[in-house]
Amino acid sequence: MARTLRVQPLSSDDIASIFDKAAHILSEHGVKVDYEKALERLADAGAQVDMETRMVRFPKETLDAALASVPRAVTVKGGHEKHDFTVPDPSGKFFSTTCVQTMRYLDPDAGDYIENTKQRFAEWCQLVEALPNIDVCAIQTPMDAPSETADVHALNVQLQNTSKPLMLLAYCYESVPYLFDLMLARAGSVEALRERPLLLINPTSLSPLVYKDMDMAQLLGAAEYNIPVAANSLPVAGATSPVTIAGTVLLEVVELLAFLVMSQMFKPGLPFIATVFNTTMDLGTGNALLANSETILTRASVAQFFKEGIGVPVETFSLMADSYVPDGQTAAEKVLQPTILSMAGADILYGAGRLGGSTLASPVQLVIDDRLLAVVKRTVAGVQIDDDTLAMQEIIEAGPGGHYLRRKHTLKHCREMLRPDLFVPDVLDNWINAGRKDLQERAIELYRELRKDLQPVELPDDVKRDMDNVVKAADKALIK
Amino acid sequence: MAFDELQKAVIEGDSDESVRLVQQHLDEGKEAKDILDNGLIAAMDVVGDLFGKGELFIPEMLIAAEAMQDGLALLKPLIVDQEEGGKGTVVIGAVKGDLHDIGKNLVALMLEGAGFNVVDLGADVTPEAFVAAAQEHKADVVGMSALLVTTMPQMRITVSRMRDAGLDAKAIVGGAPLTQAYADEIQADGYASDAPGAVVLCKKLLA
Repeated sequence: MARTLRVQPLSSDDIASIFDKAAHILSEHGVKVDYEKALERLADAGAQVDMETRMVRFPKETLDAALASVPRAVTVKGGHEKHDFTVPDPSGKFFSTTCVQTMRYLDPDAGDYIENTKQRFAEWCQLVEALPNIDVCAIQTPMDAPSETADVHALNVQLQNTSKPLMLLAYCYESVPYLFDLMLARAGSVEALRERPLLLINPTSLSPLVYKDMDMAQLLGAAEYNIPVAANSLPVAGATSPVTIAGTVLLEVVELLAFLVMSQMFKPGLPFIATVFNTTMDLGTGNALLANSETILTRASVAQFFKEGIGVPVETFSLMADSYVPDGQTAAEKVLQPTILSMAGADILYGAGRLGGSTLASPVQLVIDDRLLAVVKRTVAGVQIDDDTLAMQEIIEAGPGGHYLRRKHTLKHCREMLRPDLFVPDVLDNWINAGRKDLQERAIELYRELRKDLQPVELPDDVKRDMDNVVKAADKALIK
Repeated sequence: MAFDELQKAVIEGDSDESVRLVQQHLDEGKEAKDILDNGLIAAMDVVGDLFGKGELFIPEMLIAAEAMQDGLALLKPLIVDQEEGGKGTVVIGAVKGDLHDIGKNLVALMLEGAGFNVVDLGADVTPEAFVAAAQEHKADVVGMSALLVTTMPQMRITVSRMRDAGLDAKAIVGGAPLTQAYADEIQADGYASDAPGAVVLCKKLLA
């Protein structure tokens, strides 16, 4: 079998040193958990909790117990089982998710940046359903939804427009119960939701070392309903974590290990994916960079730590960009990241469709990213070496000056090569005669073609009604 | 020039030297306001200029601001009618429900570095707390920050409460989900898309 290509920024000594230092911080100094219900549960489970300062320390035995109970593989389930997948995959291949919180799209019809809406987000989810290399659909921010309940409206759009697994994160503490109600309305019952969780939930730490009420509420809800947790840490190197790569690696490991321990304390065996979302502050401008080299190396190191050192699946920010248009910078950034990060062990690559910053996306970029992911996937899958592929007999028989075009071996393997439909397969003159279209123009054409056949998910009317009623209840309770 | 050495100390972030030279100038009989305006604030104008050109980085600007503040501490008791920071008072905070504060912290630090007096209310700040602080500190600007789209409505409420209270302070907003269009919609006086932009905006509004 081909060996997946690997990159290892850390030595085994490095991994051991990072683990020891992280364990020291967790047991001797701790993190702050800003949610009373969680503090009580953590204290009951063996953490050392100061209810006044809300500082929580995790003695070594609690870390050991969590590492013993945390699952080594996670099955990610969506609305329909045909989209289910398990990480890590035995073949070493990776999966992907789109980008969250998008408030604006770069739209090919408008030729400009336009606001995200429920209708446009619905189309995005349907497009995700149709793309072969996109596996998870992340929540966004439709700007025509009420601000106070944007996440509830957005989850409703996701559930009704794609049956792929979803990525969910809450936008405020108050909406968390409604998000879970919406999941239950879609699933039909608690048992059904536990059996088919529909999504990955993404509680997020507030770097450095703080855990907010809304994220702890999501974690507790995940424990109750057995929803896999893709807990994430988003330090900004130089601002909310040390300026050095290794310093941010250590801080991110501490934050993710704290999440891991807490997840297992709330429910031993709760599926957990270490989700690596660090960025770097450009200290010349104050801007947070999402795709620069130091950021990539940090993510790769944390990914390797959790894959090799801990043995849990990993997700990373992988398709980010620091350019706001689909230009050469974006293309370079969107190849370097997923290549390095998948080789470092990332099982789920986050960010398909993202353009620069944290709130901009493009459905055309989503199509390009889908095809780029196939290129990266094929490249890092490695080389199959065996007697057949080495083709020694072929070389001998074809001999000096021979050719391989008519040989049976060539016929047997001739369709194995990846042929990305968005890349140019032709000679210059033919490309010129076909209109000299660049990647962006070809991608816009493909996007418009795909758009013709998009469909929402077929759900029973009573389920849709129950879901819409949850959204109405959220609006009634939360809109001021 | 009279304050070249003092300016150099501030620009280089040398607090000890800044304090020594301020004291020396006072001992020489120079006016506190003169030392402040032509020594310390002038130095920070250079710092701001160097930062704008990309020649100084944020940590270097912050250490220069510290050296300026350390020198200023000697002058404060002697300056009767000068506004504390020289350029104006800014009350700043992340709005109610929002705990994300690194962006706001960066803006606060850069405003201090630019010579503003900054009153940082922290995160999860209610509209009432913004208004009370603006009244107490006679704020020239109230800066509100949000990361979450669900907390943005607090900005609208705060601006409204400021107007109801009859405050003259300018209301400015910023944060990842913010746009100029939203700022206009809630009748804020300004919006900045990044920290350096917030400094430029405050200078412009108070010019």
